[in-house]
Amino acid sequence: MNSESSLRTEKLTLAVLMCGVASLALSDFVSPVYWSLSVLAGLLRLWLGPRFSLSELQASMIGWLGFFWVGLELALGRAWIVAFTDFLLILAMAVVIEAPTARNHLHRMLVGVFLVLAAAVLTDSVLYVFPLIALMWFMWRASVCLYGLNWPGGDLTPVPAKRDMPTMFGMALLAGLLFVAMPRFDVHSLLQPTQPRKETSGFSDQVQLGDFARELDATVVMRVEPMQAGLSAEQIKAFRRQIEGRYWRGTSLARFTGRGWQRQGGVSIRHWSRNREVELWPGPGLEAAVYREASDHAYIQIPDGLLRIHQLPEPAAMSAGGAMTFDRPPAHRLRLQMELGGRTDKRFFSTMHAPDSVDSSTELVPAALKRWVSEVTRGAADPAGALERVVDELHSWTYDLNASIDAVDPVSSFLSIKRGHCELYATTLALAARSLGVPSRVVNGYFGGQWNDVGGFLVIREQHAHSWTEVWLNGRWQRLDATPASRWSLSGVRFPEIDAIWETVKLSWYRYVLEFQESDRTALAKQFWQQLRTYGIKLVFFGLLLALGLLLVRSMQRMRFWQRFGFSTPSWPVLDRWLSRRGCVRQAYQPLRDVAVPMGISENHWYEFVQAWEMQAYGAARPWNRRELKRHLRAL
Amino acid sequence: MAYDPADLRLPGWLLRFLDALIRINLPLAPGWRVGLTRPGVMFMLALFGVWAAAFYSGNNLLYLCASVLLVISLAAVMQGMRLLKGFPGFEALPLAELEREQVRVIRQFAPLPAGVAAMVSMQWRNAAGDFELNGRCTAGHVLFSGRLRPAKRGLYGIGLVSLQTEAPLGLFRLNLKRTSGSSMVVMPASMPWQASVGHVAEGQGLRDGDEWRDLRSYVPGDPLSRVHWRKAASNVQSDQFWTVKRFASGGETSEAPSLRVDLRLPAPQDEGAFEQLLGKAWYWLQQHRGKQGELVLGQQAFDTADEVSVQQAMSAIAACVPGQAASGGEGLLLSLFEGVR
Repeated sequence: MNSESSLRTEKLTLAVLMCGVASLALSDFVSPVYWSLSVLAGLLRLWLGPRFSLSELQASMIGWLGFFWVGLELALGRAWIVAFTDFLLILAMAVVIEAPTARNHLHRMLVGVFLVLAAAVLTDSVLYVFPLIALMWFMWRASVCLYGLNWPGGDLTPVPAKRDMPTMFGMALLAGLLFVAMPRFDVHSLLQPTQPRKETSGFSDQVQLGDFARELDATVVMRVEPMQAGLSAEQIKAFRRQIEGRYWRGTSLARFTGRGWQRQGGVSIRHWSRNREVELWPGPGLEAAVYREASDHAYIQIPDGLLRIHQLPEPAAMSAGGAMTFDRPPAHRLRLQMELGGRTDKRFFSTMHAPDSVDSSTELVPAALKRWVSEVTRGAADPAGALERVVDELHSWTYDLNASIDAVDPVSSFLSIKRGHCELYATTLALAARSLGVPSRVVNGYFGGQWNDVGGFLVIREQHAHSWTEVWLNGRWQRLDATPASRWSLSGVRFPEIDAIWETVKLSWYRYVLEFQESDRTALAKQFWQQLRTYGIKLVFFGLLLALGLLLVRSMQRMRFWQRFGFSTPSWPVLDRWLSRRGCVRQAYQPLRDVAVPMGISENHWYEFVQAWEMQAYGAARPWNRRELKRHLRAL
Repeated sequence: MAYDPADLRLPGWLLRFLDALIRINLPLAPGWRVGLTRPGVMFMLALFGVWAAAFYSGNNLLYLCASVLLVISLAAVMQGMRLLKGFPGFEALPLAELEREQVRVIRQFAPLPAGVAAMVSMQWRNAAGDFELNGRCTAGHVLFSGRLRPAKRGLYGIGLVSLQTEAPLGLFRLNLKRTSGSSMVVMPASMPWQASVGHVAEGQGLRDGDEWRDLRSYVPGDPLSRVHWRKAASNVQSDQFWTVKRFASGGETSEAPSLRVDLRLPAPQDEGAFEQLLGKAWYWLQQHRGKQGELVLGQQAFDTADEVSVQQAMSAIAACVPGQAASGGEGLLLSLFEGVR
């Protein structure tokens, strides 16, 4: 193995390993310390070369130390998945600094590929595609280099990287086609791409009113897009009109503790197993795909007018309070296919049970609030009119996320400063209703969302978390929202344009890669066929142009190729004619070296000419054109 | 190839298992077969594992990984097939002047359209023996190398050629069997000799004149006094060997040499003598190739100045069979006669 080939192979196998480390670094389960160690070792190896290396024994000792260290981590209570990734990265570091032998090259390739495969389960980031494509490139080049080593006659010189580029492009295209074409089987397991369950900062099923001092959190909770692909601009506008401005109902909180709200231990009234149809109401509706991020709670956010959910991805149940939850918080992103009625469709409220004593309890209602209610509702004809006055009054107050609320008596504090966040408004209204004898509760969920113009979908973030009130009036539950409208002008997104593009990329990744299903293939084929019918003639025209261009480029390349080797180019007939004039006949298969010395030509000069000819023909010198050949022949 | 899983210190039974697997060659298309190398076996096992995990889990990222690995394998097979399909035939190789029982070292460049770094093995078999050449491919050209040692004289079609390569990744062993229309011309072993003009050849020296007529290549046994030393000194840089002066009287220099070969084999003579006779004829043809002269081989006459005729003469010598002896087994002597026209 010569040093140049060795160095090239060393760099390429290192690159394969680094692709694995990079892909695993995308996982939220991986500690940055561990992947930084591997990257640092890799950089040092690149900089210092094989001088920065340990013997195989020393490297294996690092691996064993890593094993025991991870065992200790597990004993100390670290999650097994985190400990496992730590071990993989320690192993990668050991392989990086192992002495550069043939075995080390294989170690690197194997570990690199294994890390990429492990990352396929430990992350669902869109950035995963970069290390994957890089792996394809470096693995190909490293394999070519490894194949070329140690042949009799010396190492083979691999073709320049740029000549492999078209192959790589074709491979990426073919990989995409294979991805689409391969069958999917509906067998779910632990090998699904996982993501850490996000801690919710807005939505909650337990409210402490006093500790509310928050920044607006732009973390995405849900993305909602039309189920049907390939909609026209008008259809997308119509979808936007229908999907925006809906309440997404999460949990209802009925037990007031004086300082906050607690969920009442509800009884499940309905239960659905996986892949079942959740049908609440009949009738066709707006079809929407909701991508729910993995979070630390199990609630399914129910939009206004929900009619049904197709093929429930996990078992779920609905409580008497109208909260729908998965049996346990899912560990990965889920796609819920919902069918929605109109925004004002109130039929869902009729599925909820009538209030019980907890919904009417006034036990812990502060006296200050009762006084305030009696002042505000003085002269109201009925409870509905009284509640309307309360709502109007609250709407005139100031929305403030960072209002200094007394944690001991938050409601009285809110009433005195008249500024606060939505949970305080919802709480005040709910308690006011109870003091008026109307059963009520606070509901936590999301409202509205942000429309993404680039991708044509709705994004619901933590900042859209919201609290409102439900009251029992006229024999059914009704929603009242006392939060001032100024709340919805606030946003925590710093660069909305960039964010819109990035969110579109992410949703496309989820939609077309992570959540790609059997049914999508048919839809894709249909869409492709429609596009083909629409743009068929243009495509044929451009295809012909492209083919002509390619043909031209190819023929030029071919001409250059043959010119380089002087084979069947204009040069050979010139030479053959010249030879025949001097009594020599060259057969088509005959190299010039085997042709007899032409008449009247000195042998020395002839062999010098043959040598020069071969040098230009085999690329060791600049190729001759016809004029140069004639000049050389005249010189003979 | 520094790519062997044996480097991983796998247990012996596993290596034996891998070796058993790599002996399997599956048909790919008419004329094509594909097998696996040791690293190829490991790669394919890994590929099956990833696909199984993808099918079982429905994890689309595993589908992507498996697609990428599968595409790498497919691209390797396709590039290997493209290489073998566009691999130059025997037209570029000097197979026309092989000699029986003589080793011919081949080292010949040829253009290669497929730009792949690869080693290709070419194997073929015919009545002259089993032959193997290696093609070392780099960007744009291939270097053929190997040694050919035909066992028998004759004109042989190349016939079925087996091309084999593990390029470009060393994972798959591709084998293409294709028919070549080229032929091998195996000449008899050249037997240097010197014949005197107008005389039965065997063992006679050249009948010389006072002035040297022309030059011929040096043959071991030539007197050193006849070597053209000035020419030899000027040829030091080239591949030419020494040349020897041939003398003749002034009147003969304008005459073209002629060799008549009687191919009839008298009864007491064996095949060996016939081969020797052809070897001498072949030597004579080499000496007079490209010059004025005539070779009469049995009933056929060839002009040595005409390259096409020389090629025909070579084929005729290679394909020569002994003629019928005269009745009674006496016949003419197996003979060469060099004279002038």
